[in-house]
Amino acid sequence: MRVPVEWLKEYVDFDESTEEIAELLTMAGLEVGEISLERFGFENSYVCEVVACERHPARDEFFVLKVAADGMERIVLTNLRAYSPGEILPIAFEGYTFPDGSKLEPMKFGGVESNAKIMSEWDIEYSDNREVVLPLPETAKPGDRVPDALGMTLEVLVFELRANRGDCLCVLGVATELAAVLNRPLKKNVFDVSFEEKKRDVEFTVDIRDADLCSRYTGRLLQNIVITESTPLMKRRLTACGMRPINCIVDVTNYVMLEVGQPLHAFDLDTLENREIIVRRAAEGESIVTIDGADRALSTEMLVIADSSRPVAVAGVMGGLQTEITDATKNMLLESAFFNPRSIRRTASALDMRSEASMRFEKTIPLDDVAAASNYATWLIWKNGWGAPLSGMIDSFPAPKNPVSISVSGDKIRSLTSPDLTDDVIADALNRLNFSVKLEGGEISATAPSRRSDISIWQDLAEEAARIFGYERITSELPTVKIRRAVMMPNLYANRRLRELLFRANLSEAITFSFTRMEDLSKIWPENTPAAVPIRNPLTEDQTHLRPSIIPNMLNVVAHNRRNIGDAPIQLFELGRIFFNPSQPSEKDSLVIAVSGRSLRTPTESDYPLPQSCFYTLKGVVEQFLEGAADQKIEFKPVSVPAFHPHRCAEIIFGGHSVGVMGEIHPEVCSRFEIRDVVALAEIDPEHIKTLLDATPRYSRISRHPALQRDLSIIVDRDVPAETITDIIRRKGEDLLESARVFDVFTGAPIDGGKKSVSFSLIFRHPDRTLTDALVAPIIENVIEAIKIEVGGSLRDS
Amino acid sequence: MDQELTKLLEDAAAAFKAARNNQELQDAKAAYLGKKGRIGEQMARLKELPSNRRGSFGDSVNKVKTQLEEVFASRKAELDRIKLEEKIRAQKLDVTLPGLRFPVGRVHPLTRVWNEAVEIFMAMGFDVVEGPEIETEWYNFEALNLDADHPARDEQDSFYITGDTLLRTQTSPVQIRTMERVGKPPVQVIAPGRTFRRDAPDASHSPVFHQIEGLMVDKGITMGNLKAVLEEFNREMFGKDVRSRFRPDFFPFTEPSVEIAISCFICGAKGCPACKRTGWIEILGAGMMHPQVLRNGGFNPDEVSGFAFGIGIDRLALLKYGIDDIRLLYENDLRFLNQF
Ligand SMILES: [Zn+2]
Repeated sequence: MRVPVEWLKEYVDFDESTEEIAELLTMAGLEVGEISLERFGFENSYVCEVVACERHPARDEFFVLKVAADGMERIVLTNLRAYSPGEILPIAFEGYTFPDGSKLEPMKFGGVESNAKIMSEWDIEYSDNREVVLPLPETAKPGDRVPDALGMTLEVLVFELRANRGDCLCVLGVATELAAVLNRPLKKNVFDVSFEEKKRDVEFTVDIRDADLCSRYTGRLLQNIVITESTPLMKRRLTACGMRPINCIVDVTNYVMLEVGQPLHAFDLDTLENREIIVRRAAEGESIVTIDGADRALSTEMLVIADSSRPVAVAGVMGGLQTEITDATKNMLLESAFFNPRSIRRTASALDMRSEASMRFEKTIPLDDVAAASNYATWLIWKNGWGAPLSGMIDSFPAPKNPVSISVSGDKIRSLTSPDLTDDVIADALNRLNFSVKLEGGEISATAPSRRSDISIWQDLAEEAARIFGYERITSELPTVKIRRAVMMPNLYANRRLRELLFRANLSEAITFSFTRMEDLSKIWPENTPAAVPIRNPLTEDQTHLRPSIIPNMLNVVAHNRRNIGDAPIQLFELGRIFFNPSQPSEKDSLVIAVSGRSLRTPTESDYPLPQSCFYTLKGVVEQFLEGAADQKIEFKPVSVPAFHPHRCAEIIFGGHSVGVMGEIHPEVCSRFEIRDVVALAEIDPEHIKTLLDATPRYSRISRHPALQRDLSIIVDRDVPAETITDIIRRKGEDLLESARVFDVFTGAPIDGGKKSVSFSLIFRHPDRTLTDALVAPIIENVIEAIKIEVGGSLRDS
Repeated sequence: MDQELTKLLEDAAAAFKAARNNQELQDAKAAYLGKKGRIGEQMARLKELPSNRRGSFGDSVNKVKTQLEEVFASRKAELDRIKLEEKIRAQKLDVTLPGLRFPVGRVHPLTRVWNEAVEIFMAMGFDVVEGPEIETEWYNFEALNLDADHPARDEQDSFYITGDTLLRTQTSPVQIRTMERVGKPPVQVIAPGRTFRRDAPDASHSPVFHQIEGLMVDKGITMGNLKAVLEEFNREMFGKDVRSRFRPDFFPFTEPSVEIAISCFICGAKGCPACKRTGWIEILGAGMMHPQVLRNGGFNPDEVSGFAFGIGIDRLALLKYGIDDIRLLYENDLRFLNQF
């Protein structure tokens, strides 16, 4: 919303700079987003100094002037008179737009080229005289822009108003606030007008059929309408406020709306059938051609202004084309009304027609000023000779509203705000805002001015008092409370702990949107695509559903990074919510870990670089993460799960519970995401893990006696899982076996084609004494024997 | 000592010293000190000698043997040292090859500020709670005085799921849920979480973003309290010298409502692009809880009052780390993530 400063000055005296005014209003809650300077075009016109003047070589009556401003030089031809160097002139430069829309272009005259022109009064629409040089004030200096020099630049406060202050969508509302902030009186009562009325000899009726949507409707008839341009002042201010001048009548309606906030509408009276106005809901199947030429179908919830046969306007939103003011209009009806804000909001949004009028109606205009605003507009038309008002304004006001009076104790206001707001401070603030205030024994009774429809409860008074007093002046004071320990909800705490563990497992965190699309899901799961909760009104085609899994987003993140960082390692996790059960949408946390790219391990220089397995890196990461979470058995069972490599996939079992799957993503899926590298991914349901977190550790005794290490290489069929052999070793290793771990797997010559060699490192230790070979040797024999019997394995090199 | 013994000592010492490796040294040792070696032969000579000379000869042989063992040991040590030196020489590494690195787990900037904010508020006694991301219109709008026709609903274009469920547009529904759950004052919580608005993404808008809701309800909670708590937060979050500015605003669920800005910590409030040359950066919205909202949460506004506030976590992250585009937070480019 835009308010020219000069307009405000009609209401409030101030010498403060515009910046100061903007700051004061902003700190009182009317935010000034910007101070804009309006020059109304007149671009490319500068105050110039004459540098040289010579007679035209070919045409005696012309002079060739060289003029300059701020280092810019131009050549001007004139037949007015000779000028002396140092004289000051308003000059239009190339590209200047004249009132008729034409633009100044360089021209050649008698062999002399000119590229500028001395400006006349007509050039700035100051008068019709094209011969008189536009007079400049004495303060004009070379280099000034002509509109600035003429004081034709308007400073405009551009407000970013909040939804509750419908009363401030006009000059009067802002001026009222400014007067309160500055503690100065309002200079003028804009509604204090009087004009001559001709006796109304025509019948005219207004019938409000749907009073729930129209609290008040006034109609004023005017005769002898003269359609012309409005005044320069009106046009200037309309333009400064972002509205286009049209003709004197339309301009008056807009001007009054901008000044006092009341949207008005002018009908050509002679186009209204039966000289009557009916305010009603649209009938089934009705439509209207609005002034923008669009044919609009109306629904029965929409309020229309109708004559006896058809709608003539969408109430409060836009007028009809057939009844609008035209150059031929002789008689008019001026409408000023109050329409239900909700109804206007719904209608405007259903028709997708937000207008200056609807924007004001939907934020609630001042009900009591409906007739006064109409009179003000009538006065403007009458005063300018654009029409003659007829007596007897029709004012249909079915349900006048009582003023809002609120009583509250000063103590109560202070208990919500601050002890700083004494009774006197409160009363003074409310007085300045035109409340009528009574202060008696600590009880404050205040009646809100009728323009302030946002005031309804005592807390509103507290806010008014606080903002006029100044939020900045309210003393800060930490609350006094009983000491209690702040706690975090278990699930939030668990998520925080899981994140810490994931960071410790060398994973970085990814955070993606909660959305996905079916196409991505079916890229991963072409069959049995999981059901996803659809969004009824998605923003884009790739965000049509809520994600039932984090995997698609994670694959997109991997693909993005592969495009950008080459084959550098990717180790990421995302812990976030997933959504399922479209018929009864629910949400829960999910965890996805992704590993991709090469990582390097180099025991000696000659092995450098050695690619490391993606799968086992992920597995290590998952193990580290789970080990950190709780002291529970971690198992991996081969499984075949859609989207994963059928032979490189495992179910993750933690403390006997299946908590997820991990494995390499199926190469087909990767290629659908345009990922050429191997990606290993784990999808984990964190709920069970959360229940195990933060068990208090129990110390188990460390033996002080030396360990005995034995390495065994076992040759066995390739299909035998290493874990099976490890289990045999653990079982047969009895109490003395401290740990058994695979450290190498070897295939190829000299090992038989269908076999592999798996090397284990066994550590034996006795809690109370030093072990000897003699004690361990029979155990190892038992182990080898069991491996032979159970999985057909044999000791390598034996 | 007889000449033969002297010669043996010299020969053996020379042989030991000539050994170039352990094997040669062991061979030499066997030749002289072994059972059938030269020293052994001398010992055999002992029996042939007259008994009166046996004693002194035996002493001499033993002396030679001891001396030889010393020579052997020193040569062995020498060879061991040479061998180790060779081994070490062979282990030479090109120290300029890149170090072996595991990717370090990086904390996402959103998580970083989230945790930081949570810690600041917990230190001031705020519990930390959460609520669902799929909300009902009641909790998300109506209970907060935002009925369907409220003009402020325009600013919160929502993603709808089913009839009256939607993705929450703010963390404020947790206000009502918390009051219902706690049941009686005092209530002092923050609720960080994910929020959604149907905004086309640009440098400062994202359809998915994060907020922290804050709430304190008790007898006699004032605007002065609100100011003090949030001033404290701003100083902890952005630095001791940061000043807070409070000015009127409008939210349907608070009355009075407050907009809070901090003095620009980038330019020291002198004016820079980050603060749009104003010296101030708007950082959060707050206010005293509207009586109807307290009632909707089951509290009596005649007995208790409260303040509430909402902070954009994404915005905090952008400001704090100088990130110029919110979309970077959700792109998860490792070149970005690795900076935190
Ligand atoms: Zn700055």
